[in-house]
Amino acid sequence: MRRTSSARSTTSSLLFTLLFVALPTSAARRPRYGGTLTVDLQGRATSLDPAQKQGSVADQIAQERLLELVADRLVMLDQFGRPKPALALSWQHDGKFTRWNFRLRPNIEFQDASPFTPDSAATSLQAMNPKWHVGVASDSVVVESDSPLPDLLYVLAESRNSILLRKPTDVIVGTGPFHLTTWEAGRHAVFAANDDYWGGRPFVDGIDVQMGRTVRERMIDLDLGKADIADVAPDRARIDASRGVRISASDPAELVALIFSPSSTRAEDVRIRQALSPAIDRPSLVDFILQQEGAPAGALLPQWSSGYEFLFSTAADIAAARQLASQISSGPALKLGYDSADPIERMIAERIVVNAQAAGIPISMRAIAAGLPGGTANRATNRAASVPEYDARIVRLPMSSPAPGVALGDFLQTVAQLADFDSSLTAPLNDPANSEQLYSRERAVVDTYEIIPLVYVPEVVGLSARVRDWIPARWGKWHLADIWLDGASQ
Amino acid sequence: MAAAARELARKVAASVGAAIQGKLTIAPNFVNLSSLSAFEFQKACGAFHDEIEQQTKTFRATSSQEIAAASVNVTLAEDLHGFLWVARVTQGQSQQTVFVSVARELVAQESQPSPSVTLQKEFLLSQSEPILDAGLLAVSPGSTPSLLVLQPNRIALFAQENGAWRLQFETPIAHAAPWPRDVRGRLQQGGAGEEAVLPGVTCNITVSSALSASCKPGNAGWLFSLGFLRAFTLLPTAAANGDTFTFPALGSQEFSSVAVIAPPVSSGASVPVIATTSDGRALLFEGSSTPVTSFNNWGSDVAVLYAADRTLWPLLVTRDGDWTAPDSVRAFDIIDRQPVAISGEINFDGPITALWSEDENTVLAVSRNLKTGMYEAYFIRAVYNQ
Repeated sequence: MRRTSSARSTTSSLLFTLLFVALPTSAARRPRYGGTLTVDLQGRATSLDPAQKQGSVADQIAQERLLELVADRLVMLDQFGRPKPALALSWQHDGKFTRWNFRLRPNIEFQDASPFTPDSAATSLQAMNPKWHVGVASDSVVVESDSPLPDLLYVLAESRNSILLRKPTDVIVGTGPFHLTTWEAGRHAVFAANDDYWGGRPFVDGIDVQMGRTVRERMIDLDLGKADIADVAPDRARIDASRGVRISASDPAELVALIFSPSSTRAEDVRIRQALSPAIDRPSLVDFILQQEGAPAGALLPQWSSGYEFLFSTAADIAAARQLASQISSGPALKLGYDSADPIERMIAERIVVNAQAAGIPISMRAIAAGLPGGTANRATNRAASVPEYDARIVRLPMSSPAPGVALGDFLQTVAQLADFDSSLTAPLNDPANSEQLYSRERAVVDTYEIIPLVYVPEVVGLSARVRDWIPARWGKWHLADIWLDGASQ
Repeated sequence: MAAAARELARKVAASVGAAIQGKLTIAPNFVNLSSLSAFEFQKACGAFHDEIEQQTKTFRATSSQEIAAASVNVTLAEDLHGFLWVARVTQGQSQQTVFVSVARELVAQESQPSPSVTLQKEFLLSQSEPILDAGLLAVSPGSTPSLLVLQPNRIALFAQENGAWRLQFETPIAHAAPWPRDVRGRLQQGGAGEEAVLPGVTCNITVSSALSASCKPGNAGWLFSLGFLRAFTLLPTAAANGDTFTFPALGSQEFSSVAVIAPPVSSGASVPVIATTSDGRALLFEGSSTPVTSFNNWGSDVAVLYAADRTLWPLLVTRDGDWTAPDSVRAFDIIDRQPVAISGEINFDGPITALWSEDENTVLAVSRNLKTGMYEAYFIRAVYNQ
C-alpha cells in the first residue's frame, strides 16, 4: 500500500510577469482562543428554563440565546437548516414516523459532572412534550407518538427541547459549550467556556451578557467598545450602518401580522377583514417604518423558508378595498390594538390606520399590554364576553424553526389561541416537507382573513470590529462558541 | 435540475390532461427567483419545454369540444432545503399550482466550477462532514487509485465509479478527549504505512478487504495545542532531488501553517521556511529560529507545490477575510525575501479550511461552500508557463 504520485510536471525556468502584489488588508486567519465576549440584549430573560415562558418576544429570544450557551439538543441544524448529530449520534424511525430511536453520544457529562444518560435525556424531553411517550432502550432514547412526527428532527433542534437537568432550586444544568457562573435574572449573566465540551472548547474564554438594555444604551456600548454584540432595532440598522457600525442582519426571522379578535362582533363580517388586507400598503411599512430592513409579507412563512411566498399578493389595492368597504353597513370604528411598549408596533398601527381610512374603513388605535393571551379562541363562544379590548391586534411571531413545516405548525398553534380558526386549519400536516401541502394550508389560512400578514422582519445585530467568524444561521440563530476575538490574548 | 424541470412538465401536463383531452399547446413563462445561474436556468427551461411538448403530443381529443387555452407560469425559487420549481397553470377560470423540489446538494454537484488556467483545481468530492485531508492511494500495485479521506471522526475510502468518487469503506477514529473546535488532521506515510495524525492521536490505517484504523494516543512529530501547531515536521519529501536537509528550529511560537519553499542548495543544508501566525503574519526563516523577515496580512494557510526539477517551489497562499467569506488561492514566489505573485487567483465558494501539500505538484484544498454548507475537496495543480 502506498500513496500514489501524480505525474511530474514538465517545467522550465520561470517566465513570469513579476508583479509585486499588495497582500490583503486583513488576513484569512485561523481562529484564536481567549478573551471575554460582551453582549447587550434587548430582552430580559428571567429564567433559562424554556418551561418558564417569558413576557415578550424580545424576552423569549433572549432566553433562547442564553439557553443555547449552556445546553445542547439531541439534534442541531447546520447553517443551512440541515439536521446534524448533537447529543444524538444517529437516529432511526419506523415507516409511519411514530417511533424514533436516537442513539446517544457516549461519555458526556452535564456541567455539574453528573453523567448524560438516556434517562436524563428522556426526562428532559418528556417534561416539554407531554403528548409524546419518551422512553429509553440501552444507549438510546425512544420517542413515540400516537400521531406521526415526520419533522421530529427539526422539532428536537428547537431550543425548548434542550436537554437539561432541572434541579430542585430552579437551577438548570446542561451539557453546552458554556456554563453559567453569574445569574441576575433579567439583568446580567456571565458564562465561562466549558473546557471539556464534546464539540471542542469555545474560542472565547467567557461571555458577559447585559439584558434589558435600551436602544440607546446598546448603541453607546457598541460605540465605546463596551459591547461586542448588541441587538439592533431593524429600523435603526441603516442609520447605524451609515454611522460606521458593523451590522449583521438575518433573513426574515419574524412575521408581523394583524389578527382579528374572536371576541369582536365587528370583525365577524368577513368583508371588513377582506377590505382591510388590500388597503394596507405593505411596501411602505417596509420602506418607511422598517427603513427597508424587512420585506412585505403575503403569507405566514417567508420566501427563503417556504419557496412559494411569491404566490401570495402583497400589493395594495385601494380601489378593491374601497369597494368592499362600501358594502359594509356603518358601525363603530375597528379598534386596532398594539403593544404599548413596542415602538415598531405603534408605528405600524399608525400607518395601517392611515391606509384603512383612505379606503373608507373606520378604524382607531388602542394601546394594549405586551404578551400574547392564552386560552382558546372562538368567535361563537367569545361573543358573550364583554366588549373586546380590541377588534384586531398586531402580533409579532418569531419563527421557531427554519423548517417550513415546523414553523407553520408552531405559527398556527400560536394563532389558534388568538383568532377564530377552524380546527382543520391547525391540525398537523400529513407530510410537512411537502410543498403542495404547506401551500394549500397556508392559502386556506390566509384566505380566512382572520390573520393578515404584514411584514417580515430580520434579526439585526451590531458587532464590534474584533468579532471574527460571525456566522449566524440565516434565520438569526447565533453560534457564539464559534466566534473568536481578534486581538484577544491567548 | 433538468430532470426536475422535466418532472414539473409531466405534472403540468397531468394537471391539464386531467381536465381536458385534446391537442394542446402550452406556452410557459419562466421566472428565476433562485441563485441558479442564468445559463443553468435556461438549460433547465429547455428541458421543461422539450418535455411539455413530448407530453402534450400524447393527448388525444375524444370529443369535438373546444379546448381552452392554458398558460403556465413557471418559477424557480428556493426554500430552506434547496430549489423549488413552481408552476401555476391557468386554464379558463381554474388555476392549479404544482411543485417539484430539488435538494441543494444535487444542484451543487451538477454545477461544479471549472478549473482555472494557471493553477488548475480538480474537484474531488463534496460532503456535509468536514474534510481534514484526502489523498490518492493505490490499494495494491497497479490498481486504480482510491481516495482516502480523513474526517474528524472517521476515515473513509472512496472508489471511482462513473467518474465520481463513491464511498466504499469507512472506519471510526477512536479518541478519548474532545477535538479542538478548529480540529485539523493529516494523512501521511508513516513507518508502518499510511497513517492519520490528529491532535493527540495517531491511527495506523490498513486497507485490505475492508478499511480499518488502529488509533493510539500520541503524535509522532505533530504537536497540537487547541487548534494551533507548535511544531510541524511534515516536510515535502526531501527525496524530491535525493538530498537531505535540515529544518530550522522555529522556537516556541505557535504557527497555523508551515511550508518549506525551496529545496536545499546542497545536501545537508537548511531549507527556507515560511510559517504563518494566527495574527495574520507570515515569517520567513532561513536556517535559524529568528525570522529574517515577515509579511503582514497573509492568510493562515500556506502549502507548497514542490518538484525535484525546480529551484523555487511556488507557495500557495489563501486570501483575506475570516471564515464568513469566499476564499481564493494564489501562488507566490519569495524573491529577494519579498512575495511575488506568479499566478492569478483561483476562487472558492467559501473559506479554505485545509491546504496541504500532497505530493509532487499537488496540493489538496478543502473549502466549506458558503452557499451549500458542504465541504469540497480539490486537488490544485500548476501548469507552468514556458
